[in-house]
Amino acid sequence: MRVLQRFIDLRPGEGPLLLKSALTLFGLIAAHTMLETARDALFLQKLPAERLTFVYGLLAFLALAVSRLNSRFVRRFGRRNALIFTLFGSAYGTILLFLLPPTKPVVFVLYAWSGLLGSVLVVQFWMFAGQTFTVAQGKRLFGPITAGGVLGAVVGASFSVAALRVTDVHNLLAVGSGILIVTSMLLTTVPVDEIPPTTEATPTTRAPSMLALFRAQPYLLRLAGLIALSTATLLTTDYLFKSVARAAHSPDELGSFFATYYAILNSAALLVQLFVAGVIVRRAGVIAAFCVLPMLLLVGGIGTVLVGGAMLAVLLTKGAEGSLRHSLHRIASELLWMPLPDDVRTQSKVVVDTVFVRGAQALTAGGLLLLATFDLDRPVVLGALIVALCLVWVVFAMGLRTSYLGLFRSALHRATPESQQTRLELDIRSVEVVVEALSSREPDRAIAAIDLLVAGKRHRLIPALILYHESEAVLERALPAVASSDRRDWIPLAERLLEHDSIEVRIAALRALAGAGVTSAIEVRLLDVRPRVRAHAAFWLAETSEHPPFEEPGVRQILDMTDDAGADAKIGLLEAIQGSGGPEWGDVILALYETDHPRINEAAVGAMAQVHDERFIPLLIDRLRYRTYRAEVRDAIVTLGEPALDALVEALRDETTNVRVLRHIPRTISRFGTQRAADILTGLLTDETPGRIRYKVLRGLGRLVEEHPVKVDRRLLERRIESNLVEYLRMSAFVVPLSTPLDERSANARAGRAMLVELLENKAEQALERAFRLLQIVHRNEDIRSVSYAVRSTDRRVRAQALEYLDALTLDAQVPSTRELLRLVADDLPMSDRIVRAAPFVRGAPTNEKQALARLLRDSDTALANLAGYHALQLGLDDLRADVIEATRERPMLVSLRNMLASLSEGAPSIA
Amino acid sequence: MPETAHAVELELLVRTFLQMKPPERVMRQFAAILRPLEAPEGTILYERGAPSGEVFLIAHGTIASVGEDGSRWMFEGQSFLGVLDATLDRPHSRTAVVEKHAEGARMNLLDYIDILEDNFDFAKDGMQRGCIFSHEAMLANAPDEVFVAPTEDLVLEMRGADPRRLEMVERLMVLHRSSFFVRAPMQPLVSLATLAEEERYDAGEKIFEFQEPNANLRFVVSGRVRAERQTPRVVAEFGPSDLLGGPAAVGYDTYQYTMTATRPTRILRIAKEDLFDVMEDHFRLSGTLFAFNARENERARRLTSGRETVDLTEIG
Repeated sequence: MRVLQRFIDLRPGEGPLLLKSALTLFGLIAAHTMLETARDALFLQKLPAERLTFVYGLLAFLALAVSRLNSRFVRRFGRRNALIFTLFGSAYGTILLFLLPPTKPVVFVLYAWSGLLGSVLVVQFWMFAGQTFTVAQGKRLFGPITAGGVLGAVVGASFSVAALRVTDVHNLLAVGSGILIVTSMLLTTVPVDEIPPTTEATPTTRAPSMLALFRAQPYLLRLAGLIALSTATLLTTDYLFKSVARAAHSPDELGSFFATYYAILNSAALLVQLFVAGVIVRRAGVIAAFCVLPMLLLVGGIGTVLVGGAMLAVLLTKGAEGSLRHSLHRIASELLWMPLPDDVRTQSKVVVDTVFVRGAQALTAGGLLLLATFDLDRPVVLGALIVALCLVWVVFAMGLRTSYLGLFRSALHRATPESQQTRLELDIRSVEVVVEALSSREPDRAIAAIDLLVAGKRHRLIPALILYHESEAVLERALPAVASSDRRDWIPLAERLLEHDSIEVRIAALRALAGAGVTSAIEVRLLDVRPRVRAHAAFWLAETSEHPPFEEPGVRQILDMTDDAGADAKIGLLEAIQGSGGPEWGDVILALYETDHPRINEAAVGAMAQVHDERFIPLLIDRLRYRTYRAEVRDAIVTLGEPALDALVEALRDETTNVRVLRHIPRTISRFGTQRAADILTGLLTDETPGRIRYKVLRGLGRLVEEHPVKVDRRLLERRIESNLVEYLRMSAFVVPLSTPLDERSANARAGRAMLVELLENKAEQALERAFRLLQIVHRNEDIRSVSYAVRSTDRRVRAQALEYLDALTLDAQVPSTRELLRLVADDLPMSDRIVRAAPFVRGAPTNEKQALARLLRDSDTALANLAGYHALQLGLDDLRADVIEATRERPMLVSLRNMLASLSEGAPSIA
Repeated sequence: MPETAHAVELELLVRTFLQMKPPERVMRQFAAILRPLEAPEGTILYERGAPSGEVFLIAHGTIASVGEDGSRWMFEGQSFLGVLDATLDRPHSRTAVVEKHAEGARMNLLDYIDILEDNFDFAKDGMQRGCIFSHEAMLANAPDEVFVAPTEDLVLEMRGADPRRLEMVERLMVLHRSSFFVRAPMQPLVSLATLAEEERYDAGEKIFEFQEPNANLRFVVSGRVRAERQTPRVVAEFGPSDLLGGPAAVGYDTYQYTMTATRPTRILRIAKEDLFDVMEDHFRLSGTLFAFNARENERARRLTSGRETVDLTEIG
C-alpha cells in the first residue's frame, strides 16, 4: 500500500474500493478489447470496410432501443447490481455468438453486439464510479481507475497478439466471456452505497423527460452536444485509420496488424495515464484536460491534409486518439458529469452515452457513407473533416467553463442575502395590501407601510387622511412623507396638528408646513410654550430672511440663552438645521458645537452631517470615534468629496490620530465608492497596517467592490489570500500537537491548554475568513460566502464540490500557490496530514507539545505567547520553565507573563 | 395571493417586526432570504428533537409551543419562533403546532445572522432592544427572580488580599468563565481582556446608582455586590463571574439598579463601546450575546409558564 501511495494520493479507507473499481474496469476493458480484436478482424475478413457504415447505423438504432431500458434498469436495481447483471448477460451472449459459425450475418451481429456491450458496460461502470466517489476523489482516483482500464486494454490486446499465434481469432470470444464472468463476481464484493431502488415509479415520482431536463439544465445539453461531437470526431478518425490500414495491408495481415497496433496504443495510453493524465487534470483543470485530445487531433488532421494522407500522419493521428481516449479524455469526460445533481446524472447519463453517442455515430456513418458513395472518403478529405470537427469541439468545450462553475455554484449556494434585489413593482393586489396596512390601527404596521412606500418613492400613494391617525408615532412618520410630494391636500390636516399635545408632532407639522411655504405655521409656533418648538419656528423664520442666520435676532437670542430652556432651544435649532438647513448655517453650527454640553454637541454633529461645510471635516473625522450619528457623519464626510478623502488619508498617516477614530476611517473611505477610494484601501492591505485596521480595510473594500464597479489589484489581493491561508495552516499546525490527551500529571493544566487551543483555532478561523473575504473581492460576482460554509460542511460531497469549485475558480490565479493552498484548506484529510502536505508553506511545524509551546513563546502575537507561557508554567516542566524565563527576558511585551512568573515564585497561580 | 402582493406582505411583516426604521440595504437583504409561510391549523412548524436552524416570523395566527413536560407557551401574531433553539445551537426543545391558521415568513438562521453581521449597527440595536425586552418582562412578571443568585462556590476568588493587579491571562480567565460569555470565541475575549480595567471596592461602597448614565459593563472578579431598585422592588446579589445588572446592563443607557459592594470586591470594567467595537470585528461574539438573551428569554418563559403574563417577548 505504501508503494501505491507514492504514485496515488490515496486516503485511509479508499484502497479496497479503488482496487476493486480499477480491477472491474480492467476486466471489462480487457474482455472488450479481445472482442473488438476478434470482431474487427472477422468483419474485415468477411465484409468490405464500407459495410462498417451500416453497422454504425444499426448500433445507433440499437442504442436508442436499449438506452431507456438501461436507464430504468439502473434505477430499478441500483448501479452496482445493474452492472453485475449486464456483465453476466454480456458473457452469455458472447458465448452464444462464439458457438455459431462465423458467417457474414453472424460477423455483422457480432460487431453490433460488441459495440453495444462496450458502450452499455462502460456507461454503467462510470455511473457506478460517479456515485461511489465524490468529485474531489474523482480527480485523484479516476486516474488510477482508468489506468486499470488502459492496462486491461494493453493486456487484452497483448493477449490477443499472443493468442493469434497459436489459435484462431474466433476463440478470443470465449476468453473474453470468461473474463466478463470473473469481473462480475469481483463486483459483488463491492459494498452497495446507494439509495435503495424504488419499486414502481408512481406518476407523482416519475422522473422528468429528457427534454425537461435539457431545459432545466442547459449544461447538460451542452455536455451532450460535446459528447456527440467528440464521438463524431473519434469515429471519423477511426474510419480514416481503418481505411488507410485496409489499403496498406492484405486481409490476412489485418488481424495481427490491429492487434499489434492496439497493443502499442494501449501501452502508450497506460504511460499517459500513469504519468501525464493526473498532472494535467490537477494543474490545468477539467475543461482544459477535456481539450487536450481535440487539440492533438487537430494537429494530426492538419498534418494528414498537408502530407496528403500519408500512413505516418494517419498513424500519429490515431495514436493521439488511441493513447488519450481511454485515459485523459475518459477522466475529463467523466469529471464533467460530476457537477450535475445525482438524480439528473442517473437519468441522463445512460441516454447521452448511448443515444447521443450512437446517434452521432449513425449520423457520422451516414456522412461517411455519402462520402464513400461519391468516392470522397479519401484521407485528405477525412483529415479536413477532423480539423473542422476539432475546432468546433475546442471552442464549444472552452465555453463550458462558465456553466461548469455555475453548477457547482448553484449546488453550494445557500441563500442570497447579499443579492441586490430590485425594488418591488406594486400591482393592484399589492397596492391593496399596502393601503390596508396604512389604515391599520396598529402603529407599527401603519409605519411599516409608510416606510415601504417612501423607500419605493411612492409617497403619493400615502393618503392625506392618515394625518387623522391616533398614533403620534404614525403622525411623526407620515408628516414628512406626505409633505415630500408636490401635492397640497394634506396642508389643512397638518395645520390641525400644529396644536397637537405632542411636541414631536407639533414640530413635525411645523417642519412639513414651513417646508411647503405655509409661513402662517411659523408665526403660530413662535409663541409655543416649549423652547424647542420655538427654536424650530425661529429656524424657519431665518430661512425666509435675507440676512445670514448668524445675524438673525431670533437665532442670536437662542445662541445667547444659558439656562436649561436655552439648551432645549439650541437642540431644537440644531434639529431643524439637521432636517432642512443649508451651508449658510455653518457658523451657527460651529458656535453651538463649541458649547460644553454633550446633548447640544451631539445635535451639532447631526446638523453637520446635513450641512456641507469643509470647515467641519476635521470635526467630523474626529467624531467617527462615537457610534451615535456615525452613519450620518460618514455620509457627511463623503458629501464633502475629495478634500474630505484627503483628510482621511492624512488622518490614517498621522500617528497621533485617536485609535478609535483610526478604526473607522477605512469604512468611511469605502463609502466614497470611487476608484481612488478602492486604490487607497487596497494599498492599506499590507503588513505595515496594524491587524485590526487591516481587517476594517478588508471589510470596507469588500463593501466598496460589492456596490461599485471599481478595479482592484488582483495580484496584491491574491498575495494577501496566500498569506492568510498560510497563517491558517500555521495556526492549525500548533493545534495538532496540543490536541493530544494530557497525562494525569498534567491534568491541572487542562484549562490553560483549552484556552490556548481555542485561541489558536480562532486565529486560524479568522485567517480563513479573511482569505475568503479577499477571494470575494477578487471574484466579486461569485458567492464565496456560501463556498466558505461548504468548505466547513460535514458532508463530504458538499466539501468536495466546494473544493472543485475553488479549484476551477482559481485556475487563472496570478499567484498560483493560492490554488494549492485552497486545496489544502478544503481537503477532507485530517489536519495532521494536511499540515504534512503543507510543508512547503509551513516550514518546521511543531511535532510535540513542548516544541509547540517553545515556538509560541516567541510568536509575534503577545496574547498567544502569554497563554503559551501560562500553560507551560502550568505543566511544571523544568525545560519549559526555562524557556518561559528566557522568553520574558528577551521580549519586554511579555510583561504579564513576567509578573506571573514572579508571582509563581511566591506560590501557586492566583486564580485556580 | 399573487407573488408581488406576497412580497409586499413579507416586507411589511419585516418592517413591522423590527419596530424601527431599518436601513434599506437591510430590507433588500431580508427580501432576498424570506420565504412566505402559510400554515393551516394543526401544522407542525417543528418538532422536539428535530434539528433547529430555521426561524419563523408569525404575522397572524396562534402557535402553541409544547414542551416535553406538556407545558404550553402560546404565541400570537408578531412572534419570532424557533429562534431560541437555533441561537443556542441545539435541536428543538419544544414542538410548535399551529392552533389557529398562521401566516408569516420563514428563513434560515444563518442567512439572518449574515444580515446582522453585514449591518452591525442594526444588529446592535436589535441586541440591545432584546436585552431591554427580556429584562422588562422579568421585572413585570417575576421581580423576585430577575437575576439568578450567585453560587456559594467562588470559582474566581482571588488569593487573599492580593494587592497585585490582574494580569492579562487572569483577566481573560475571568471573562472566559463568565456566564455572559458562555461559548464566546477566545480571540475577542483576548481583545476585551486587554481593554478591561480593574476596579476595587470596599464593603459598603457604592459602585453606581440607579439612573446614572451607563457606558460600561462590570464583571465581578471576587467579592459580592448587592443590587437594588424601587419600582418594582428588586433586591439581588451578584458574585464572581457575574455581569452586574445582567441583560439590563447591556440594553439601557442608564443604570437600572443601585449597586453596592457588600464585601471587598474586585471588578473588571469594560466600556460598552469597546464591547461593540470588538463585536463588530468578531461577529461570533455577538452570537454569545444573542445566546445570553435567548437563555434569559427562556428562563422568563419557564418562570411564568402557566401564569398570566404581561410584556413577555414573543420569542420562542
